[in-house]
Amino acid sequence: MSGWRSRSAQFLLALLLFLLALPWLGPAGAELLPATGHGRLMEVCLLILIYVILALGLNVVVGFTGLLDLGYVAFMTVGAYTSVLLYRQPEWQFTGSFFVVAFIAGLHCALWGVLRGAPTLRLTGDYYAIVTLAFAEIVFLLVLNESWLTGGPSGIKGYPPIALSYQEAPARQVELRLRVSPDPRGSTPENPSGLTAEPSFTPQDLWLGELSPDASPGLRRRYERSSPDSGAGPELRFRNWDGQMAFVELEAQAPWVVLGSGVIDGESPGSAVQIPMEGREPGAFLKPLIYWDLALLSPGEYRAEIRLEPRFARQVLKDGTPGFFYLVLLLALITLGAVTLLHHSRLGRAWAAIKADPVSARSCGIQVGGEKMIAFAFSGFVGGVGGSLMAFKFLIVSTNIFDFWSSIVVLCCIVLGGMGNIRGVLIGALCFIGLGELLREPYLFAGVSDSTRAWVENSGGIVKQILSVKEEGVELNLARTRYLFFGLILVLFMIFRPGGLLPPGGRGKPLLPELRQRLTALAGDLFHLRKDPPGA
Amino acid sequence: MDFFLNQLLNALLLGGIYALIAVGYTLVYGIVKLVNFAHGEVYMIGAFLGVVAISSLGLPFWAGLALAVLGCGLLGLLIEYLAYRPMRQAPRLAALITAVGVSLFLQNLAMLVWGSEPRAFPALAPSGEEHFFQRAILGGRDGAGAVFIPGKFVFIWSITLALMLLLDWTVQRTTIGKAMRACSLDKGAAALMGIDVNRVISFTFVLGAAMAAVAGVSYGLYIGSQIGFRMGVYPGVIAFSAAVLGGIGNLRGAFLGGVIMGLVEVGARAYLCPWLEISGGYSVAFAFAILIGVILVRPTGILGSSAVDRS
Repeated sequence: MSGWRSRSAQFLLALLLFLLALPWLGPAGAELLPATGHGRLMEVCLLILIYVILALGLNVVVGFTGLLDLGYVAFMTVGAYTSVLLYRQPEWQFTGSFFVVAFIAGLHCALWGVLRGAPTLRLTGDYYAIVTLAFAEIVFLLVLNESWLTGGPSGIKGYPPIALSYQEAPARQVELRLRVSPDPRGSTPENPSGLTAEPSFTPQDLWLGELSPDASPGLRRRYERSSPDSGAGPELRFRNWDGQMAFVELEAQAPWVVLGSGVIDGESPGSAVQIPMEGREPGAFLKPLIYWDLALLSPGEYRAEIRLEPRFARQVLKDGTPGFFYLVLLLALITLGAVTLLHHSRLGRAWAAIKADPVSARSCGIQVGGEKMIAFAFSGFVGGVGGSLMAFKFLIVSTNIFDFWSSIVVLCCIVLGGMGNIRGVLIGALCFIGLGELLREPYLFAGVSDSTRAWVENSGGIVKQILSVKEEGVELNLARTRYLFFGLILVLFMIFRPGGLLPPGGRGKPLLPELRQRLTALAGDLFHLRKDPPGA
Repeated sequence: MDFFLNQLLNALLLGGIYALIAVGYTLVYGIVKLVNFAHGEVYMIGAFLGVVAISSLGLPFWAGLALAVLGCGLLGLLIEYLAYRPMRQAPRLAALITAVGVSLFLQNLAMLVWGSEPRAFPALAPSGEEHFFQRAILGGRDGAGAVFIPGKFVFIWSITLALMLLLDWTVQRTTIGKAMRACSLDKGAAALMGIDVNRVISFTFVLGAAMAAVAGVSYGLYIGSQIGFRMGVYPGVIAFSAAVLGGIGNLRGAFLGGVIMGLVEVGARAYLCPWLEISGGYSVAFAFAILIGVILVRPTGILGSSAVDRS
């Protein structure tokens, strides 16, 4: 056994080295997946690692304690939204703050895990599964409907990516004037108020941080006032902004994201608008936008002082950077270590006992309720951290990303790999997410005859969903059928290999002979019409 | 008052549809002790079959309904035969995961076949004419508050009621019904008494799927739009809640639970949500909350016997 163990250790070491080297493989890595572009392999591995974290967390409840959780997405959602809502506040952007934010998101989810678990301690099987499903749907509806907090169906985006450290820059003062005067053309259908407004800024150069000289000429032009009714410039335009008289926004160049905003208060002209700057990479120049509503303004001059407190993000860990990959890898390793330790601890054995038989477990002195609660809390915590990683991978959180089927995808990883087996869960996430990403890849069939082309073009239904006519040939894109395969995999695995690829408690029987045996048995059942003793 | 009456009519209608779906859950659970997660998808496919038969094949409404019932009955048979029968001896967790897999499969199959855009229920009469379903039996469209009962309401109520009575009669009075009840009590003993358990289970699935098909077509007729591949998810869970609320395994309980769920959903949307000043989208959340509450407080449901296995 020790030889096998060491071989397994060697394998793990090799895998780890491969993952560590992956961000630097570059074009060589792209060659491993020929149809894909540069960095695709790393992207797939990153996704697999995130799902490894999620699946390890879910496995604690489903695999270790034997309770089917169909609402894991609730924790992913709560974790993602918690971390995003915290992290987009400027006061939460400080050096190392992502770990704090992710930890708080995890704790928040652990709390919900306990709150959900406490009343359901006595439930097992179907009813527990249904309660978790209902809980997740309620969370989903909350996220969908509480738009003031969560952005509703469109979700939250435009929050900064993770940065490891921040750097403060000196504060700047900008004066902003909005002169409102009667329009010489009077009241027109386009402009019923008969007023015209002229914004101006001092100083004109709003460069913050490192100046790149080649962008300089464009700067002046951006501050020129474009005529609002010509619609030529995107910078200054009429817009009614929630009934505010005037409103100022600051945007940074490429990508144009809102950095901060404030209301120019007409009641107290000259008031200062504090615009805290969220963490950005240095070198970006700023673009103040004023929106105003002439119907609410009267002639006169409105003045506001904007105080900018820039803080720049350093070491930004965006999706696709080696830093983000290493962050996810680190968290996956920590989760793996924690779950392995728990599995082999007294707690892990208690969970196994509860899974086998709660009544016997209780009679052996195991605090069934307490031990289950720890599992719920731990699972929720990991789900929350995984969810926040997803939030900072996609840089958008919405109900489209976190829907019911996300729970099922994580569940599939566990089922495929082997419920309750940690190595199985790793293999499951690798195979399942890998398969899902493989199905996303389009395949081009070149040299297709014209009749086939015409057939593809004129057919509807499934054909239209997976085949499309391209210039070079017919393209097969199975991305939309992914979930179809996922469902099929769940059913087939449950029928033919309910223990997954690596069933818990050993390596399981060799896959192919067992599969053949089961297939023949099933074929005998189904087609031979053997008269079985019915029932039971 | 008129507003209240209109809402009540809607609630009863929706409740009837939920009851028709809930019957499928309760019958199947009563016999194989399986939460048939794919049942909501059968309902969705029933609605699609009805719409496609009427709009694409140009069949009359009755033929479309019959086709949906036949198609879903066959689907129910196939699901049981291919997916659930091999799982009969497996642990409950495995069977439940299978059901989730079937649900995922069917939903995405429907999306691939019929597209992801929701469809509208086809017009049943040539333009200019008013079909019986659209015609007012009572009241009229003019007058904002007036009670308005179109023909389709009467149709859906009567078909729901008729099917419920028929089902109740089948389960209580016929031989196959007796066999179903016997299997529900003890499959082994039923087999020893010469009952073909496999046939009974297949029959149960077909029965439930056919009811779901009627519910799907009725829902399409009622709403007139939103026939999409995701339409089965919420009604599925709500109908399951209805079955649990009424007492799972109990046919009359499923009917009662369905009507209560309809009342809860419409009541929440029309009264509770505006009163609490929250979005009407939460009306479904109340149904889920009731489901959780019933499972926690009285898992046997209103009409269920105490013998129901809580696990």
